[in-house]
Amino acid sequence: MKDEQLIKNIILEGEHEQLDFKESVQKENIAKVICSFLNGKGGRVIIGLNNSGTIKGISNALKVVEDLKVYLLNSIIPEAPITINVESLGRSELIMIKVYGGSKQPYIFDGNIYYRKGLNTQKATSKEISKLIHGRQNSELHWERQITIGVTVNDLDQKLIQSTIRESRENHRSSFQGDDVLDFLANYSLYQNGSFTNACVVLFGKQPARFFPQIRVRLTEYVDGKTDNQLLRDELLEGNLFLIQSKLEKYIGNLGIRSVFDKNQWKRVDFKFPEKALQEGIINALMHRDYSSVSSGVSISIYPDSVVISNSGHLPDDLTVRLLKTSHRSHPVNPDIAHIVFLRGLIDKLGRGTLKVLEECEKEGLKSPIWKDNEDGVSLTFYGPRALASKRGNTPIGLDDGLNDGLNDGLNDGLNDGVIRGVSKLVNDGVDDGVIDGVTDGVIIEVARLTKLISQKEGMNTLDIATKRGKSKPTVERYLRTAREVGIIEFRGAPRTGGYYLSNKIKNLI
Amino acid sequence: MAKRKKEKIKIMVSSTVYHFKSDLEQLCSTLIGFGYEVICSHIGTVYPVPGKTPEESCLVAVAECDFFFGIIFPMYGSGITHKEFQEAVRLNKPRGFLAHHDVAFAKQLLKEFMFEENGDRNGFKLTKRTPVMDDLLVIDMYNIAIGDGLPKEQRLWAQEFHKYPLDGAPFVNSLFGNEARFRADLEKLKGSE
Repeated sequence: MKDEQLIKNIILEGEHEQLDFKESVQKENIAKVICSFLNGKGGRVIIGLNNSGTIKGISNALKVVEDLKVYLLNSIIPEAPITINVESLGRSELIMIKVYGGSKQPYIFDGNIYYRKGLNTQKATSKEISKLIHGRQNSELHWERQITIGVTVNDLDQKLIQSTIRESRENHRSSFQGDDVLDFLANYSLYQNGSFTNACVVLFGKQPARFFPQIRVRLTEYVDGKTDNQLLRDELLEGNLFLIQSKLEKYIGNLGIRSVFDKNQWKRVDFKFPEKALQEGIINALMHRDYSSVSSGVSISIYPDSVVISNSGHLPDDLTVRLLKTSHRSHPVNPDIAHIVFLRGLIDKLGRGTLKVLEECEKEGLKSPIWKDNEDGVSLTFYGPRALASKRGNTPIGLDDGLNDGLNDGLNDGLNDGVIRGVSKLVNDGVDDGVIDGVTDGVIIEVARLTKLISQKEGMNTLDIATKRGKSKPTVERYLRTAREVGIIEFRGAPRTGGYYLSNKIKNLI
Repeated sequence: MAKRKKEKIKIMVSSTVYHFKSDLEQLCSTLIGFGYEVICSHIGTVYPVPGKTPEESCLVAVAECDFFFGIIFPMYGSGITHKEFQEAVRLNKPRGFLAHHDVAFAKQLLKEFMFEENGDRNGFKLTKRTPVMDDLLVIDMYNIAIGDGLPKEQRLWAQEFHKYPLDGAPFVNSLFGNEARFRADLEKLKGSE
């Protein structure tokens, strides 16, 4: 149901710079639009809708999806992760194609570079091409594209690479032909002139912790809480991303039925943590964590009635706008790593991780999981049965699901897409006009949260907002100042009794 | 009579393809986007002259282009690119070059071994392929590109790059991004001959 609601919400947005409707399957036109999205901030094409969003449906959608997958894979250069899915809406079937903003711009279709301007997709001008070339320079400076000194092909798990080649070919996610390991790695920019990139070592290294100690994941199982003096398990998992992922999956698969005692009802309650949701949380943590800091890490803590997956490194928003420029905002944190994870079929639908996690927990009758981001890092907490849930001072998930998706999937989805886009536009305009200095993605996400909060109850003052956000007043004041300076919100009334309201400018955008 | 549309400037892109495929395609599309006609065997725009071998057709293409743009990688390839370089120099085509840093580095490293004191190339060569360079002929290509050994005024610049998207593509942008300026400079060059 959540999927249907998501599609409905997206359709309601109407066509815009990152959303295009097609009534029928016109492969070439679709490829042009996808190419232009890759050269921009990413976006979606929904097939089976007319321009105004009326549902027309697509017959034989599953077959069309397979054809389209192969067509787009072979016709857009360089290769990019593109997800194509059949979506049901009532009795109709639609096809949704989604891409992130590409990290290897400029993208080409049929020998030409396409660019999106408002609702139009057109060939890029010289100026736009120059902009893409300079934007790409920034992507190349990213940690995962740097060379790991001293790595040879013998340091890599070649069997794993070969199985990746096979799998990606079988599931139509790669256009790579051949079996040569080095050619495959070069095709995905993981091998360059005799050297291997950091991303390559994270993905395929035999002992990557030798090069990056931060790659280790700590798994701790507590008898009771953190303050308890007993641990059931405490180990450091080592290996490449896929090895760690499979070790963790195995562990989760063995978690089994858990029991907690409900004092209110004076009885024992049995429950099970949903495997798929935990797996989703784990792969997201491994894929989107910040590997660039040697002191970063991922830890999985298991308590009797909760599981916490946390990334003690930096948040995705540590990618500065200055570094990745505005056109790169919707990149996953580690695009090269994310692409290979995608090739292995471990991500189903780009940007839908949060919804999947929520659904799975709901099915098991568990309390909604909570994502938190603060200076210590990102954490995702799964809780036990709903009836047992104690009140915690966190933001309810309903408020933040789109935003959390941003943290977990790099691209924001669902209900809050409009808010993020609107806020992002005004903040960027502010930066361009010199009203404010460049800001990180984290600031934009936080400003979007405040905007969402204020939209639900206009007239709140700083203290109200700080309390709701669980942040200190000075911190919230900083974000509010930014929001005011770029014209997202305005303060009305006397300094002591007044409050914040959304500006017409932002209202029009969201 | 309607004004005749300006003919597009024909740029020949001469490069090996090994591990450079999508970058090369991006380069060609960039030039097309800037308003040039691109002649490049990899994207199938070299005219295959009936009755001639691919190599001969490529050399005909060198003669027909308005500007020759060569890219030198540490992996040598089939040798056609090398012949194209020689032909472009023989015909004194207006030309520009991008050279991978490793080639420029190896030239300096191996200079003492590859050349006699009088400057003649000796038979020194790599006996085995390495993962970073497979043939010293790439250094010979580099020397052709820069006019090594010629009087200073006849030497040319080959822009070094380490990673094409990082420091190669921006050079392509600087050289070709302004078509009108490039056209005017090319005309001046023709006029001075």
